[in-house]
Amino acid sequence: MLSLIWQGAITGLLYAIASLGLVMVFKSSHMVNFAHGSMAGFCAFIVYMITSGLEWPWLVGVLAALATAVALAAIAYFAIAPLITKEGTTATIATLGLGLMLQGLILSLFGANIVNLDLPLPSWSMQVLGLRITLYELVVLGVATFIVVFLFLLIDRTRLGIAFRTVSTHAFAAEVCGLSIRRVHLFAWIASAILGVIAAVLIVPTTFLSSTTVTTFMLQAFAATVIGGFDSLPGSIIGGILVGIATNLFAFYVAPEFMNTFLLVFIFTSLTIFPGGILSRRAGGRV
Amino acid sequence: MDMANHGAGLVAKEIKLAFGGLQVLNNVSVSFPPGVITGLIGPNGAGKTSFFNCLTGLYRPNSGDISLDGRALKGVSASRRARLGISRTFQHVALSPELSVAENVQFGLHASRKSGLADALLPLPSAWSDREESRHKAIEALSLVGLSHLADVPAGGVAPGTLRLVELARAMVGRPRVLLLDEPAAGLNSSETKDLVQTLRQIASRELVMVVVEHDMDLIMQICDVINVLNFGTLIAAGTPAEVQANPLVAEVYLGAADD
Amino acid sequence: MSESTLSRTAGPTPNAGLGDRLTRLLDVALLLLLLVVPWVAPSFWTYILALSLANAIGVLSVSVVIRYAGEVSIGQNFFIAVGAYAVAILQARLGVPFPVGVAFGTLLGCVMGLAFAWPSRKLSGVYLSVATLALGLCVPELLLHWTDITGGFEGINVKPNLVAGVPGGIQQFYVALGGFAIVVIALARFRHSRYGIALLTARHHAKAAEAFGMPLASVRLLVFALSAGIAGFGGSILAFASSTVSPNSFTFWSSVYLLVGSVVCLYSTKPSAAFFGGLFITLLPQLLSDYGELVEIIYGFTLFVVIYLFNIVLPHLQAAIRRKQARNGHG
Ligand SMILES: Nc1ncnc2c1ncn2[C@@H]1O[C@H](COP(=O)(O)OP(=O)(O)OP(=O)(O)O)[C@@H](O)[C@H]1O
Ligand SMILES: [Mg+2]
Repeated sequence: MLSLIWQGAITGLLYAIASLGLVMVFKSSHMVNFAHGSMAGFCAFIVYMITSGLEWPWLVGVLAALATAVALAAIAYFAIAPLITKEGTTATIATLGLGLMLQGLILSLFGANIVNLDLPLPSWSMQVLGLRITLYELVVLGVATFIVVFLFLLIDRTRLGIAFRTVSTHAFAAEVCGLSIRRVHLFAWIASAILGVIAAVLIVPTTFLSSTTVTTFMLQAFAATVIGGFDSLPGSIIGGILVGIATNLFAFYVAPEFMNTFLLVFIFTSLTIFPGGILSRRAGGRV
Repeated sequence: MDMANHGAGLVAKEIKLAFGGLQVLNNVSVSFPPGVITGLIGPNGAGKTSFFNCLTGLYRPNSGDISLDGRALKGVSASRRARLGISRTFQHVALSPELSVAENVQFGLHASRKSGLADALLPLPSAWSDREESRHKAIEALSLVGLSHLADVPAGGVAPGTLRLVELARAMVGRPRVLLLDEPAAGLNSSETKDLVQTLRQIASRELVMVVVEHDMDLIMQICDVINVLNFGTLIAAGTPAEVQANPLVAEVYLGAADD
Repeated sequence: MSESTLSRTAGPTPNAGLGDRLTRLLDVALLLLLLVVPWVAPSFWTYILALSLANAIGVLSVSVVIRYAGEVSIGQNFFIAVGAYAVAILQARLGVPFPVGVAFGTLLGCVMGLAFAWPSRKLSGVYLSVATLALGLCVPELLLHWTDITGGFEGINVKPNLVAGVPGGIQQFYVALGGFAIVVIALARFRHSRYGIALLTARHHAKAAEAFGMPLASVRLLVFALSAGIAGFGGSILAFASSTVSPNSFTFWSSVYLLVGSVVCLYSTKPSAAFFGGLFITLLPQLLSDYGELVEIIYGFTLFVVIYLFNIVLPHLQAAIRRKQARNGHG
């Protein structure tokens, strides 16, 4: 039981990282990026291609994937940017178009095969209070902690971060004050894509890599976001860990094959109790 | 008929409403009897619209009671209040640009229409008569504000000033018990405003509770029998137009506001 | 109130009549043309057009959500699967005739729509979209679990046995055409019904709709009951028209395809537009069956192009034309 919770929490950290990316985009551009998963999946395949196909070192693969993520994010943002101001769902629908294109690109470049992508880590583990902790888990914990601290420092301390906070809470005021909204948006999109790649590369070793796995894995990230609240970065982390633990317990005690159905029910239950997410501050609509 | 048959009208008792630390309504107690046109005035941000929202159930007051003809409205949703005959216009035009003008007005009948989903989808004879009747009523209401010729024009293509009158038609088409008008003359020119005064006098009746929020003092003084003055969420004066005009407190509020 | 002051403020009334009549003419011409297809076209095309009509119903179910609620649903594959499997299971396992299957599939779709809408009745945009994403993703795992009933990966065959003696292809085509016509007519009626009016008001001013008796929760329930009912109906027709149901036809991506179809027909509920949407998402995979991955790229690209065209390019052009007219008017 304890080890299930521990493992769930570790996986949950990865959901949280991916979810942070969704929230960054939502806070700045007020839309959902449904291509988030496809973008991350594409970059994970880049890592695979470089490390397994070309047999180059891991570091090269990861750097190439990060570069791809930045490029993809920039392209995606500039394609979507003119639509952000349009009515309601337009920009969100457009991201599904992006997702489709990336999905097709993954299929035509890397095929529909299922492949393995492991981290270059020795299989080492230790026992703490009867809990078996692997090196992989420690790495995930380390990376997640680093990312969270780094992201919060970035948003809290740097000029870009302050601009980001201003844009996300008072878009109009920010514009009046002469802040470059586009720069802030671009920052959010790139950060989001990088977070997505990191989560994808760290989650793939526990399963396998195919044209659809990362997209599906993103449902967990979406669930984490919804549960934590689309407008709350700390909410993402809580949501991610909750989703990780809950799905792990469900898979072990009930039925692993009903994961998506469980997530649907979990989302509904959580939103019934916390409409707008656990950490959401919602103001009533004016009339 | 005597007054008792018309009931007590709409009564609000000690309404308090706050958003975060902002006290928007502070112990407001007013009664709006039927057969009387009541004015509700006050400077910008006084809480007039918020008070309407409390009366119609769109906002939930933190405390206080509202009743219609003695029936307590606590816990009654906005939609149920519509069915009880409370109707209103909005300060910012709230019509659908996709619908024709007549359809927008027909929506005022929504709460009283009985046709169900089967009627909405299938070509049933009962649906035809319901549709005919509601369209007929809508056009009648539009003629009252002089807009029947615009019935089939999409509302998106109509001038904003005119749309206020469409709002008025939508609010009164269902022959409501209570009619709350939030700045009906905003955006109208002087001759349109004159027409509006006439229309309002025409629809006023012994059964109808009518409340008008308006910044146009001439209009208020012309049509209202009683005026309530709201300032920073507190009721500071009430009385006939002459009394209110003579009230030094009211003058101060308005002059003070004008000084800014 | 005098008419004179008002006609001044109202401005010129737009000439809406002509365009309306033209599209109606197009719709009638299309229906007449479709009526003769099985007698003049090769059977392959009859089959493709039958599938297009069935898919057009699915496209309409997506368009209904966007037009009447302003929300995106990418979980329509769930409701379509419900309708399709209802027909297939009832026919294959219990020998129930097709019309009963359709009625049951539609009703079950409606009920599922309500069951989905109830917990999400207060959710706003993004939260609802994510809930539909989860709904769409859970279809295959449900279908693959109860293999005895659903036939697992292979699925179930659906026999076109509505009218004895009539060739299957012809039955399939006319059932699809009839189903499409029913949905289109019902939606045309719905638009002017009291609920159509209420939904279109709620879409722009939710609070006003609430104040006149149509709260957000009712909007959600109604839109999803309607959309899921149409999807269930469309799924039943699709099962009949394609003679088979299998989990592969009802993945989350098929919902995204339906959304593509809905975008290319501009979310319209008009017959010719919806038919075009259905045709687009049916024909392309057939034409490019050897290049499956290209289909996704083309769909994604088309979706982008259409959205750009109608949200960015056309408004720019219109503004430019208006500016030019204004300049000519002055000069
Ligand atoms: N939903 C809300 N959330 C937060 N504050 C609100 C909300 N609705 C109203 N307020 C605040 O309540 C106060 C009263 O607003 P209200 O719109 O009722 O004033 P009003 O008298 O109608 O003014 P006006 O004449 O400008 O229409 C304002 O300070 C406003 O900012
Ligand atoms: Mg106001």
